[in-house]
Amino acid sequence: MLPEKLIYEISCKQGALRAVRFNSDGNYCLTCGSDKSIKLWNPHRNLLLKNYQVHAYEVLDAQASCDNSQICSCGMDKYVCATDVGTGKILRKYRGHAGTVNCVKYNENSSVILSGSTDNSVRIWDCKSRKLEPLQILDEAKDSVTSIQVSDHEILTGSADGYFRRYDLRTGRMHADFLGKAVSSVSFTKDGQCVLASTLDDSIKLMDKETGEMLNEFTGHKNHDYKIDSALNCEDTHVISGSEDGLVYYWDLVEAKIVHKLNHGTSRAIHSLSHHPEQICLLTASGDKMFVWKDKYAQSQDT
Amino acid sequence: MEDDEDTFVTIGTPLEFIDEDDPIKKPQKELQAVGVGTKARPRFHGAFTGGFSAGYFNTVGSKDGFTPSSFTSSKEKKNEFSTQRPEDFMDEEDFAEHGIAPRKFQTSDSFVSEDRKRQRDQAIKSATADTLLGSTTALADLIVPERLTIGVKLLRKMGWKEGQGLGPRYEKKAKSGKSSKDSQRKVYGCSLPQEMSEESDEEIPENVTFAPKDVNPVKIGAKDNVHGIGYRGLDPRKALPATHVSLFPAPAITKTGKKGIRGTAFGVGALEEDDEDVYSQDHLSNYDMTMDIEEDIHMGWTAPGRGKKQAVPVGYVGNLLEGFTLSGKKLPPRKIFPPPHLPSNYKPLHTFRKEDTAPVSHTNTEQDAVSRGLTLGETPVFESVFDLIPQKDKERLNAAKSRAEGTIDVQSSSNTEKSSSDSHIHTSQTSVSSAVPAMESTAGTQSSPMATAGSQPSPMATTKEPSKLGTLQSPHTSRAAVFSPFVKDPEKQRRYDQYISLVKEGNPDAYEHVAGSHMTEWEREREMEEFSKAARFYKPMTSMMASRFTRAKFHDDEDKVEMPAQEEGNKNDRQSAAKMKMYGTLTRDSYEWHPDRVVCKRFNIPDPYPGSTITGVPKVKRDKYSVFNFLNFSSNEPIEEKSVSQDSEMKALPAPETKQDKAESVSFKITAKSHPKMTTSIFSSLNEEKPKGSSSENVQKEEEARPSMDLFEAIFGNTDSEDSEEDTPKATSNISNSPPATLSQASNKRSSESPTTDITETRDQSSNLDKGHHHSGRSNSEKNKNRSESDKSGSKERTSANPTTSIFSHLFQEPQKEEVSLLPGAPVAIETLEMRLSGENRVEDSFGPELPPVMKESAGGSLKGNGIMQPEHQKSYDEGRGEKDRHRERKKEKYRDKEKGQHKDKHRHRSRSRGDRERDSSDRHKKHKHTKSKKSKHKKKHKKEKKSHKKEKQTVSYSSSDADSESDSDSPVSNQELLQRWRSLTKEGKL
Repeated sequence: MLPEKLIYEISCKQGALRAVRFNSDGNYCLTCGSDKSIKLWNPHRNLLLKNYQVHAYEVLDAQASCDNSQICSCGMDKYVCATDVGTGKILRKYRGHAGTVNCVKYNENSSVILSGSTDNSVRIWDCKSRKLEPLQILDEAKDSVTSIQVSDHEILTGSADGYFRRYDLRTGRMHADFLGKAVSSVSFTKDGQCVLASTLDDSIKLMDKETGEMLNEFTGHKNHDYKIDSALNCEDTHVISGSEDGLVYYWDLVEAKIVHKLNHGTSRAIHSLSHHPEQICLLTASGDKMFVWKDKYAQSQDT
Repeated sequence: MEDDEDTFVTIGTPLEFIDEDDPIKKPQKELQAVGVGTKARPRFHGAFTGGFSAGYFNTVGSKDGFTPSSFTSSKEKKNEFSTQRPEDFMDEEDFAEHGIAPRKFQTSDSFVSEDRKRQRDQAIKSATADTLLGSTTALADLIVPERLTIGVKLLRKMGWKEGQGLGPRYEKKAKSGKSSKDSQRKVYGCSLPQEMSEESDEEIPENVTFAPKDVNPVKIGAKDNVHGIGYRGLDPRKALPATHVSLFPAPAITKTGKKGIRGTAFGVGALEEDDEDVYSQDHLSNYDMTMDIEEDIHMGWTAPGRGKKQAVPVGYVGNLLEGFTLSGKKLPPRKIFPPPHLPSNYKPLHTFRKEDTAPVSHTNTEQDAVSRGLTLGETPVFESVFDLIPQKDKERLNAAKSRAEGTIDVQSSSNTEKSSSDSHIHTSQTSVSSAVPAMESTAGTQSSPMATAGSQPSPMATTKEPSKLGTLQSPHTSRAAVFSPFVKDPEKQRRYDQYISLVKEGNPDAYEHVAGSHMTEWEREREMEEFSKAARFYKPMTSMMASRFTRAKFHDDEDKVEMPAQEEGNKNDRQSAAKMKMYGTLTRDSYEWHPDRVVCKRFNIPDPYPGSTITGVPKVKRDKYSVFNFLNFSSNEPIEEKSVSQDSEMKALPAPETKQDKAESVSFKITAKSHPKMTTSIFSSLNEEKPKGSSSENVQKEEEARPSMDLFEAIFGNTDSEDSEEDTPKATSNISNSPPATLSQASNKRSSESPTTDITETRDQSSNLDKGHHHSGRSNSEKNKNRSESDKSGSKERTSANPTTSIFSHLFQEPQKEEVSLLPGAPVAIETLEMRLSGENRVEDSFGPELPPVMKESAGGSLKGNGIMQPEHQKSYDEGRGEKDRHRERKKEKYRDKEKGQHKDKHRHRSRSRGDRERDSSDRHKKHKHTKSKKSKHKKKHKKEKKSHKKEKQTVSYSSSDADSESDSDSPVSNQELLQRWRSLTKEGKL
């Protein structure tokens, strides 16, 4: 079953939305706005819980830590911030990137923050110590780092130089796979065997992690310029991607056919989306609005 | 006394001897009497036996006769509530009386008895055959059964006795067979005593049967040596030669059926030469260590044979070997040679030959470092700068000189000599030339200062004998030959010089060519060694210095840098593979990557490279930093032709690639239509004929497309000409005045001048006069592969609507493009390297929501009205929905409009009035309008040119939104601004 019913269309009132992200258990979500704010929501009940003002410029990405106690965020002010969820105070402010920070991720146990920037580097920041210097800088990318994913022992980065790079900490190797076009979004499949990578040639590719071979390609949407998120649903059965034509596309993972489109009633690009980790629920962002989609039998709870 | 006492018998107990002096003991009270038990200690209580020794007076510690128990219980040590038992109050010896069983373990009598111990010792002995260490070890306890096994007991019941074998008893007959066999055996040497003689002797009654022999029990031998398992000592019968007569019968070898390695040692080590018996137990005591006759200590003087000693002659010292006698004959006397006869005039004093001593003896008066060095045969540290010139160059110099002068050294050197040292003692020409040999080889007349210096210590030089110095090699030989290690032997020295020169030439067996035929093999070998040694030691200074430095990898001013091969190796393959979607090994690179130690810790993963000091990908070599690293100039890279549809659906965004891809991304705008001819090289564009656009429109386009001059300046380093506007008139004159000089000289000039000249050229298009210059300049640049120049000219030519591309064409054609603002609330467009390369980090442009054209007009109107600039993020991000086309267009134009974009921003911030802006934009703007007006025509026609096509598209979209205000931004970028921006960018290291 696919989330095809629009439950809420939430106007976030924080300028253009830059990213929308579920937290680790899917009960809450964060939206990053161009008005320098991060908002914490309960998307299931259309509730605004908190507004965080930690950045000096547009916030481009955020993620909640695994225990929901912190939020890491990054933005065009070149900072990476770790914020306390309850108080909204900045716990750490990491400075070091030379350019806009595009993406930020916690590792699995939220002990480090990884941030990718237009300065072609990924920096690993330590949350445990008081150190404000990055633990390590992954500067292999030759162009802006657009997307990061972290698994328990791997760091996956997508870069505008057309590569996605996988740093394997266990084996101590870095694999760089060339896709030909700028990679805008990368993600692991749930089984950790494959990598889903969106490239700026209107395609999403499912790549085998070990060999670097392409297993499937998903096309039909539009993605030429923007950093448009792609994701897998919670059961790895479908590939979801935003598009620059105001739709969200659903592909069958195996068949690579478009099985569904979510019409947002807008012509703007749907650039950010986040799928619930367990349930059939999808968050998308376009313009200044956040959309909450659930399966067709779901009821919106505030009616 | 004692003895006496023993004899008496005492009956009864003797009375205690009472000493009168002792104080009379108080009779013990009953209460105080201490009960003593069987163990001769005070009884505990006696409570149960009526001892009554406990109690108040005879207390155990208290009035009550026992220590009251105390109660302590803690968390760690819980108190155990033990009920008191009667035993607690009883003595041990009382237990039995009251029927309380002892609760202690002890060995029963049967186990501690002496008898048993004896038996057991015996059993152990028989079982272990004395091999175990001691008989009472724990091991023996384990092996030997404690008591008779049931089997033994049963056997005994059945009539078996120990020492007998098992099995039915048999008659004597069977045994006799063996003895008969024995008798048949051949015996060498003395015969052995008859075995079992008593058996054979004995008469055995018929009816007596014998038990079979007992089987030897398994022998358990402790291993007390260091031999390998299964090792047995060498069987002497095998080890000794076959002829050796065995004196003893073969010991019975128990044959065990087991397989495996056994026998003598397993082999010998690899280093052993012979198959020696490594393990044989030989002993040094078996050998006589001394040659002399042993005094028989044991026997003393009465030893047998001692008396038979020969009588030693009186004068004879030393022992006589036994069995030998002194001979009576005398040895012939040793022949003695007399010492040589000394000549009468012999003096026991050695004088050195005159030649050798001469210089030394004479020149100790005044010597400087050079002369002394020369005397000692050293290489002069330096004589002239020309010494430092490598041999090859010297030769070249010489060649040139000889060409010029005809004859070289003799004349000139003599001239210099004469001129410089008139005041000195007359020196022969040869002496000088040899004293300062290197000088002539290099210098000729030029080296005269040093020559004079060299001839200063002429006293020394003059003393040298001409004949001797003549052996020195001519100036053309290598410097190593200058010092001659074999001066004494002219022939040898000659050979050595030859040898050296051959070695210089790289002859592998130089000596073979040199060696004299009269020499013996041994001599040759020696000499070769000598020569090679000498050649090694006496190296010229230059080579010594050279060994200290390594050559630079590239010149500082070299603009092409080798990139790591790994990086670049199969870039093309990768590109095409990615294109064909053949992902996999072709598109994959794997590197070793060292995660930081702490990162590993945080990820809870063991460090894959423990102890590694590096983090990240181990780098081979850091590239030389250059803008060109990011641009690929390799001419063999095929420029990819994008499949672009004829209409405006061009690929808007080239994949932002790495350096290699640059070329591709640069060329991406080429449509098939507009480029009938695809060139394979960037530089080939230089060869192309410049289409002569006669129309003014063409000219204007050209001008439009011309890159900003300041960019050139910024890149190519000429900061002198700040004001391009002022330069232009001058430049025109420059062009007309300065014909292209020879390239070697003109290259520098050109690099500084060319931007301006280019500009003027394009400005003055109508006059074809300049064409000639232009072409000649171009041909120059073709010849010269100076990159920067060719780039410049390339870009220059491209501006004239040449379809071929050049690297910078893409970058520099941006400014005149329309800036298209992003949608408000638009997602983040990916900023690529290319974009950054193209001029600036246009953060605001790509990310900040901007006013849509429609909005802008209204807002812009107000802007113009009140001159207030709204913060960008506050502007409405709500854009017209029907802006799709614009959207698309923006995609196309976005990346080309960087400079423009920034420029535009600045303009906007300045919020100048429209009039100002229009004044600013001047002719360029006009031309833009011009194209706009021509738009409809173009549309109907085919778009013949890419650029015009784009322009047109732009204008279309803008006309639709009537965003004339946007086109304001077309006004030329202020050069300084651009320059600054570029510099800051390069400073930041973005490129």
